[in-house]
Amino acid sequence: MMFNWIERWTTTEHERVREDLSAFLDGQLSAADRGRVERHLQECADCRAELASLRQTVSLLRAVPAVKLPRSFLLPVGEARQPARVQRRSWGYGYLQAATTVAAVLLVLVVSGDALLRFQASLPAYGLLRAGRSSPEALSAPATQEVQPVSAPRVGFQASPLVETPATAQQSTGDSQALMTGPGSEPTFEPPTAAVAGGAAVAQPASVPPAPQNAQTPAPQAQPSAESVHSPVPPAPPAIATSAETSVAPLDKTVQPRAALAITVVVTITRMPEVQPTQAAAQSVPTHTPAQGASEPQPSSAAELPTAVPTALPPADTPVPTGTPVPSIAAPLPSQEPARVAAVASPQPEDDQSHKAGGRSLSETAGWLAVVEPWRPYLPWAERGLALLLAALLGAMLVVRRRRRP
Amino acid sequence: MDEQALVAAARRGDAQAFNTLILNYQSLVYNVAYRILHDEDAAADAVQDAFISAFRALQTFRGGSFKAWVLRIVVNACYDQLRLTKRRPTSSLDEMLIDPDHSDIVADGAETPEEYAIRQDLGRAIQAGLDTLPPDQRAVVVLSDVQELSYEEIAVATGVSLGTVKSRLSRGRARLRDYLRDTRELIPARYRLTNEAEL
Repeated sequence: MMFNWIERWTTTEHERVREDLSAFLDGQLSAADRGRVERHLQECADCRAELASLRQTVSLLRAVPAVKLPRSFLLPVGEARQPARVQRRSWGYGYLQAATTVAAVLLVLVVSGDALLRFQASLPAYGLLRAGRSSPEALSAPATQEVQPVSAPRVGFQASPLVETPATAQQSTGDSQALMTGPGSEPTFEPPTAAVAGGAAVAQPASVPPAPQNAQTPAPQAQPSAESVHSPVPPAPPAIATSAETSVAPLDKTVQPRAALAITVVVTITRMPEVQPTQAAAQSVPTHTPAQGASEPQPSSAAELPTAVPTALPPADTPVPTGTPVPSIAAPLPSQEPARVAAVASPQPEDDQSHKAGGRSLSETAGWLAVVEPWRPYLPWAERGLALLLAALLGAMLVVRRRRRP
Repeated sequence: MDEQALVAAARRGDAQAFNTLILNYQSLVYNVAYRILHDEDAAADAVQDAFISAFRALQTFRGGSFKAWVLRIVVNACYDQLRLTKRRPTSSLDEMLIDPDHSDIVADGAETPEEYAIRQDLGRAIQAGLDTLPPDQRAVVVLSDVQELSYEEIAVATGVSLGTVKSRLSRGRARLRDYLRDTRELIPARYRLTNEAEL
């Protein structure tokens, strides 16, 4: 029994050592285990042989020659860069897309803003007209001019309301003054302003004379027209005047340009026919032009405007004793118009239509056309630049896409 | 550029840096795969797949030995290959003798054609012995004795504990020793195992 026990113990020790020989060979045993193995090796020839054979085996394995690479395993450029490239491209492409979108939005904004500017230009024009009316008196006209240049160039939307507000303010003052100062025209003017709601429309006839002065060319004609205007003016309902004045009051403060804008827009839309949009636009344009200066179209428009105004005026005043320079567009005077129309390139069609149609509907269409037709961008360089930029971006996107696909 | 910088660059998507790493390790990795799989095409596929998946999985590399980390991917790919193809663990003598792969061993500039041929024979014989080992033992033996990695690296490369590495290596070596002893005549005389009696 004892021997058996001893034998069993020795065998297990022997087996344990055999298992450790591999690690012993590699020097991976702890100090204690190493000592135990070394002691056993001294006693056990089998284990010594085992260790020797294992050592030989390992040396054989280490002598195994390396195999040549069948090929290079470098990631092919396309595949290797795929993750990185995809990211980069998507980044670049994303930027391109974003830039293109921004450019497109900007272009739309500028163009639409320009259109709005032009549209509003008609409104401020009324104001200007009034201002002009007051201008003869002296102070009002210059004031309006100053205000307009500053506001108009900066922001199309806001600028116009600002412009209007002073104008309207002046209108109210101008009306009152007109009553005071204006010879025959002033009394007539008051009702028109009221009708216009903004007062601008009605004011025009009265203001027309001054506006031309500002514009330079039409000024002399305008004065006579003012007298003629008196007759057309009456159509505007005096009842509206009160409301118009109330609305005007806030505008004068220029604190709420948006409200003013909304009002003016509404007024223009509703009252366009009566208001003589063409004139308004014409007058407004010149005022804006000086401020912007750089923009080419403006000067031309300015030139047109003065001429246009007179044409428009005659129709408004059907009676038209003086006939020629009456500012009111509403009632077109056929006789004078054609000649003037010829002078004014763009506005002609409008005037013609309005004449043919006669009445308010005609005048309305004329007004809208006036707004739409003379497309003289206020920011020509911005629009051109943006358009070019947009084209370039789109081209770049196309190029990138093409590169991507192959 | 040291390895860590290359790994960091590769992690940022720099394929060039990763290719530099591949240049450093492709020979080792391919030899491991070849010794485990004993098939040139299968080994090449496993290596290529391993490098691609390594590049993609580089974010999961948490430092340590990049070599062991890559080897683990390759070893796993080899296990998958063996499982899929269910290759026979042993190749017949004829196969072994005809096996063209062994003409592709790296030539040592200093050795004579005879020596080269002898080493070729040795490689062939050892490969046949490795083929008899179960894959887990084969992988450990190849990593330890052919490529001479440390136990720690082997543990990482095979995903097992140090103790498991030791026991697998012990059994694998003993089994291979037995095979080589049984096939002494296939081994170049210079490399033949001595008889126990001679000890």
